[in-house]
Amino acid sequence: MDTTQELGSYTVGRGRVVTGASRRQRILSALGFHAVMMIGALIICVPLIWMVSSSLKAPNRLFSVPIEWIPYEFRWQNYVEAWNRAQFARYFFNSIYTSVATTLLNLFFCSLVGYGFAKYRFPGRNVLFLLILATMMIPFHVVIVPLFILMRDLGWLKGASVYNALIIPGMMSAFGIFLMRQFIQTLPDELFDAARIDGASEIGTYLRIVLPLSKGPLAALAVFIFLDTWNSLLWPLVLTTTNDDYRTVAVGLTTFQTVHGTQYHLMMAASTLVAIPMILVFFVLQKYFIRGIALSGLKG
Amino acid sequence: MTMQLRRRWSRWWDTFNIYHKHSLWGLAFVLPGVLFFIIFAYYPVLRAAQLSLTDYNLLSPPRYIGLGNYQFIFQEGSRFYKALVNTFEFVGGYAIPMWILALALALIFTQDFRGRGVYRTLYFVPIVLSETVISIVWRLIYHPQGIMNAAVAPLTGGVKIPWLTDSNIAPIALIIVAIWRVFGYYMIIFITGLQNIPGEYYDAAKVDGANRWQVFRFVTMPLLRPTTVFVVVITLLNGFQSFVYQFLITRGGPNDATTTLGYLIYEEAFPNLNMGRAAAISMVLFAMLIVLTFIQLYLLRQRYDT
Repeated sequence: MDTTQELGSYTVGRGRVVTGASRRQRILSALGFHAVMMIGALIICVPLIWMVSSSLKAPNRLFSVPIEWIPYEFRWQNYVEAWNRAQFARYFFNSIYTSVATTLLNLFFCSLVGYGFAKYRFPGRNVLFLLILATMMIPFHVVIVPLFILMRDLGWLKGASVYNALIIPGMMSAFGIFLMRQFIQTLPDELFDAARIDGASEIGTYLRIVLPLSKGPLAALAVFIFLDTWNSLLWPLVLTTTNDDYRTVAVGLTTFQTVHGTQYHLMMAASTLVAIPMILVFFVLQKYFIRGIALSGLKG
Repeated sequence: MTMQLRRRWSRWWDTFNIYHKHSLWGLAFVLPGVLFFIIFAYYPVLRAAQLSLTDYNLLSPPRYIGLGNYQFIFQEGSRFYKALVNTFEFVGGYAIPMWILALALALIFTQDFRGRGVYRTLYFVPIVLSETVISIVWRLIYHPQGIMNAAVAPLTGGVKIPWLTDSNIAPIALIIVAIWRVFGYYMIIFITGLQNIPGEYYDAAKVDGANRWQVFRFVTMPLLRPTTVFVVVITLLNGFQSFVYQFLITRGGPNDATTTLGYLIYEEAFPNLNMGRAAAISMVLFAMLIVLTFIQLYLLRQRYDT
């Protein structure tokens, strides 16, 4: 699905307009329609505008009446202050590291496993596939306690090994495997036969045929997994309750709120800092993101 | 019986032999996946079931107490019951209006109009931000002197609504945030579903002289059913597990008014270290979700067939 092209050069109500409707009526209905849509867009954007605006205010001007949309005076030092009140540099590093690692592992394993299910025939294939698919039904709240205990027993709650606990339980996703299988199934079998005749090994086929041809769904999956890992709160929160050095930005922001909860100007500066990379990623990769969502809805 | 088994076995063996090498490669490719989900999904579920029968605080070894945890949570007037009711209210309050909004917008966005892409992108932005950031921002918005009260002032005559400190209003406040964040996501899913309906059906309906409502009711709705099933199942599953808003915006309060099952499980397990009790609550949640999903799939399939 494209996102920006073919934005209609048509006017609203095209095809719906009763014959004989005057030009003026048509313009009026278009105006009304756009007014409603714009109010909707405004409701969506106001909280974000408010976040940025409040992040630049002096604490005593946060609730000034009338509402100050544009700060009376831009206090950039809020950002410096927020940044220095917690280890945000570390949080960002941790988030980037765990999100990138989780994404790469998912891309590799989901495509590999998906390929196995899509193009090979072996006894028990459907049962195993269902076994994996069925895990999508398991709420995370059910596994969180046993997983936490498992991590503790593996010694992954101490020091830098927390990274293992942050990354490994998320290194594959049933949804990703499903997505890749569905896509790889649509690749023509002749392609794989030809590769085998040319003497390609099974792994070679995966590397040289499956991976290059699956760039689209892989990109969509990457955006999906990256955002999911970056945004996840519960699991990293539980793992790093007493371990500030390994907190991700989501957890860092949460603890920042517990400590500086009433200093809204600093909270908003910290939130904006965390939100900006996400918004940038979204606008750059919007196409893949929307495609990923579209793909996720196709399975029904 | 034995004949049947033997036949099945020999069929299995034949398939295995014919595809021998091929089969082994396939198995090798899927094996990491199968092992991963056994270790990180199936084992934890069984372990949770086992833990739910114990008293365990992470420090001393688990002590078997039979159904003690279940007896505790099913006591009359327990926090569990309160959380159960709150969860159903949250899910109902967020899911139903959200479906209607998302579908209505999807119907609008499958028409041609100027600025469509821009609107679509704007409506979609909140999903990119994490629930964490959004919760923190909305706490400021719901502040007694915040912009939410400024926005509703003309309706209330300037009376300040205690959005987060009144036990009747706080659940609604969270529902608004939840809808605000995700409707754009489900809108995109509905748009894709609508675009996948072949145009011929609409042409045929037009030839038959169907009006707009009839087209929607007898063409769009039935053909959109796979998408609808997906959206319904996913939103309910997510809704029943809601945690971040309850944790960051209201801490389950005021007076447990926003304590949902997701929040209660977290609270029992991690600050309170009642691992067994948390596991018991999570098993009830799991059972509920399984039953719910089967009911939904059954109902939706049944209506589809007729």
